Amino acid sequence: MTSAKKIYLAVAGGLVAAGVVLAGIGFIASGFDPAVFTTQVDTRDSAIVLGGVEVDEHENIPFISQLANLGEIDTSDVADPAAP
Amino acid sequence: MTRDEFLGRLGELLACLPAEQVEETKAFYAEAIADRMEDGMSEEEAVAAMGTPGEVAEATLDDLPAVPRAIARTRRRSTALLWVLAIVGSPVWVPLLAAFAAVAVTVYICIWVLALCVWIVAVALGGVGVVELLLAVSGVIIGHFPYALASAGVGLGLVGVALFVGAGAWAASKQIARLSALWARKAASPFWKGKGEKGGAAAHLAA
Repeated sequence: MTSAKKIYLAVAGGLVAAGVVLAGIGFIASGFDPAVFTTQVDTRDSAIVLGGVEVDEHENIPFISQLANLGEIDTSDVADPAAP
Repeated sequence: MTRDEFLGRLGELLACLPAEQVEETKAFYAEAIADRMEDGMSEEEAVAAMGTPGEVAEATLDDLPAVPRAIARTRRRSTALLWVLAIVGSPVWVPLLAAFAAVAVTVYICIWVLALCVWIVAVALGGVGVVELLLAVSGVIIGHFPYALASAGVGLGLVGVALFVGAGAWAASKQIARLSALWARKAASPFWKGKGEKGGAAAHLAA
């Protein structure tokens, strides 16, 4: 195994280990609330819930505000003007 | 039989093959005869050691892939017969050839789709990991630090897993490239034989 490959695998392993530790700390800090891992973005009414906490003013939050502003896609039938 | 007589007769028997291939075969046997004469054999003995021209011609034809061999054997009987069979049999062999080509290409594509699937999984995991890291930033902005930590953890973990899957995808792609080359050779084997696979004439001489 080349040294570049060893470094690559070590970085990957380090990221996974750091991720598990951070996620564990976050879970403990939330009081063992599984909702801390959830993210809900409802584009119909722009309701955003991050980790079980509803965000009222999402305009200042990058990325999330863009998601919320996507809006709802209208999938209803096209009305026929000639229909009785 | 002299060397020239042997090579002339061999050329006549192999007239069903392309001229270039006939010349190549004649040159091979001419060199083999010359080698034996250099070792001390007389011309007649060296020619006799090759076998009869008929045996040599059969060995040469046997060395061809299945389809060119069948064409050459039919052409040796009659070129007109070859054309009649080709035209009359076209409702059978054209669809069969098309089906064979379709299956060969489909299997080749399927082999590469396997590699593509692994890469898609790796990219998807990496993409979700990056989104989780962005959500972690959002968690910091709203002051929900447990969520930020959990999201950052999930994001980093997924990016790490994506790197592992990427390494696996790279290894799988290398194996699949080998497998696809093997399949391409196998699929082409009834029609074409690689330069390195020629051995019929040499095997005949060794026998």
